[in-house]
Amino acid sequence: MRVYFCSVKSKIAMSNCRNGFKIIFLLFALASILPFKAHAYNPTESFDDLSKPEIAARVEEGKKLFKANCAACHKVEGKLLGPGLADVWTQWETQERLIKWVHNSQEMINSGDAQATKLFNEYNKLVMPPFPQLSNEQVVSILEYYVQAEQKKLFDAKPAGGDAAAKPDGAIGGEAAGDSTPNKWILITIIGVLAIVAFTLYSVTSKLDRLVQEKTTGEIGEEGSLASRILNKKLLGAIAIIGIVFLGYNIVRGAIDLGRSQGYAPEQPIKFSHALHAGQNKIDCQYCHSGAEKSRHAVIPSVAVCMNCHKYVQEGPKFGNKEISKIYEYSGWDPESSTFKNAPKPIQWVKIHNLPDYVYFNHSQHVKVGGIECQTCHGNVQEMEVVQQFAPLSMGWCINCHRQTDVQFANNDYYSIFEKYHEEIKKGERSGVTVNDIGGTECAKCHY
Amino acid sequence: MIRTQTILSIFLSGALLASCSAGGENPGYEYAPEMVHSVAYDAQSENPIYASGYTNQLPVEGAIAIGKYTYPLTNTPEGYAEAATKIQNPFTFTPKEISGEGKKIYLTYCAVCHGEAGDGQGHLVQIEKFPAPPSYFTPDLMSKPDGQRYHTIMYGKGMMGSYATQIDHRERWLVLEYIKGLQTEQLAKGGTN
Repeated sequence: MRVYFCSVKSKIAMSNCRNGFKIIFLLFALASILPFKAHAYNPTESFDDLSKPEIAARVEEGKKLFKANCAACHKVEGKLLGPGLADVWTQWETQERLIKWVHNSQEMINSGDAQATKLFNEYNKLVMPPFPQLSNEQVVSILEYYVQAEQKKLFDAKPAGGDAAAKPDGAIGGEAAGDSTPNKWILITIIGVLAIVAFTLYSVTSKLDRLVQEKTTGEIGEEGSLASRILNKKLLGAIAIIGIVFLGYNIVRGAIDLGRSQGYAPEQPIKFSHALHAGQNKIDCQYCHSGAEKSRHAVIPSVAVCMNCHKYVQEGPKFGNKEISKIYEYSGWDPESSTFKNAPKPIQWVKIHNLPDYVYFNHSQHVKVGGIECQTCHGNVQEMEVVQQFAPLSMGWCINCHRQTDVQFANNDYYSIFEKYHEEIKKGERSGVTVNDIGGTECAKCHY
Repeated sequence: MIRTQTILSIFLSGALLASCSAGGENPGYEYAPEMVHSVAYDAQSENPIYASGYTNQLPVEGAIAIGKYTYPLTNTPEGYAEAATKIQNPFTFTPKEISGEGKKIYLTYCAVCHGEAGDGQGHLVQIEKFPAPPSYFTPDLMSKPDGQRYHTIMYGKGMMGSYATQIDHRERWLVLEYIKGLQTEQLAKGGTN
């Protein structure tokens, strides 16, 4: 039994698929009458049974070869740079012709072969490199054994493993969000319970006091109202002190936090996860923020940088294609035709780290010259599902670091002009040079 | 009763002030916003003056910034073919530059797919997020002319996108020298694969 799956992704693939169905129908009709090998390019056996060692070996061989030679331009289902390989074998009259194409497509086009030329033009005249090193059997292993197995989803066991690997990271955000709220509620409940206990104990002791007084003096103690009991002088004093401490703390903290935005974590127009890209996928920070070494700004990457990978990666592990399709919308990319055919528009990211206009800060000075890790100021962004401002970005925070951090003096041409310090280090009179020593706390360094 | 109100108001105002702090969607309050926000338009901010709405503008067509380089070839198969002979490395780099800065550029931009060793088995390939690029050590890539390598960084090739915005003219040649170094090393080790 042969089963075919229609790829809905492209119209071309659809029509191919329909042709495929027609051919298969014919084949079945013929095959039911007599054991007839319809044409050379018709695998006579079914390849589903991976338990047969000879089939499993060829599927495995095909898979390996596919990954090494084909995957950069072809997918099994749906087109990438070249057509999907799912039903490619139905489009060529004979196996020999397809193998010839794989071995040297340009030769075939130059010889004026109509089908080859048509295919070449259809895919924007992209040259498929020749693969003379693949033997005929190897091509068959790829295009029949492996591709069929992939189509029939015989590898389902494997992707499940991939999912499991993706899951723990996907859960980071959920756990983090879940973590803080229960803690808070547990705290509030504990405080509430303690308050009730304290109040009951207080009323019990006061009642006992009154009873003792009654017993010893014979006078009936004054019960008084609840309010007057609570608002006795001692208690009021204690509450007032707590209140003043609470108020004072909050006034000071509120005033300090004014204009600092530490902890600000706004939702962005695209739910871009640094935890996924920088954490799980280990893409270097500067891959996207390529200005960090060269200029004052670390730079928000242009959407072209997203498209470096997302022409291929069309679905994410968490939001499927919902968020990635937004990139296509912004960049004007049309995944159907694989061209930038729509007008691009800018992504309005929400700025998080905002230094006041009267402070000069330069990324390249810190990253390139100073060799400071991004995480020193931005926190563990590679673990953040939603980026938040990690540091207070206050002047005290800057100055502290400038006073405490040793400048990388050794092997750093940038600081070669500080001859006296270099000499002192050589003589052993000085262990290191802080940023402060080279004028890093002068007002005009940052305010001018 | 007046005392109760006083105490309550102390707590309330404390709580109110505490809400000045930022968190989540709330950026907090600022003091003297006129001094904080730039009057001039920031490079990546919106701009009502230009029709496009961006502050960052593309240079006028044909303009070359001082000290900058313009690539003469187009992103076509013909351009790629021409690159083989027309484009040459104008720089000479010291071994220190290649093994330092060159390696840094390679590890930042290339290694995630091409692999730290250049075998096309980068992290993204290994976790099956991205198809494997060819190893640098195939006979085809070992003998690839410099100009075509440069052309590839400039415009991309196959699934690889353009790195023209991330890697500048000098860095492109520098990283190519580093990759050549990897290939020479491989040759010494036992040739192509």
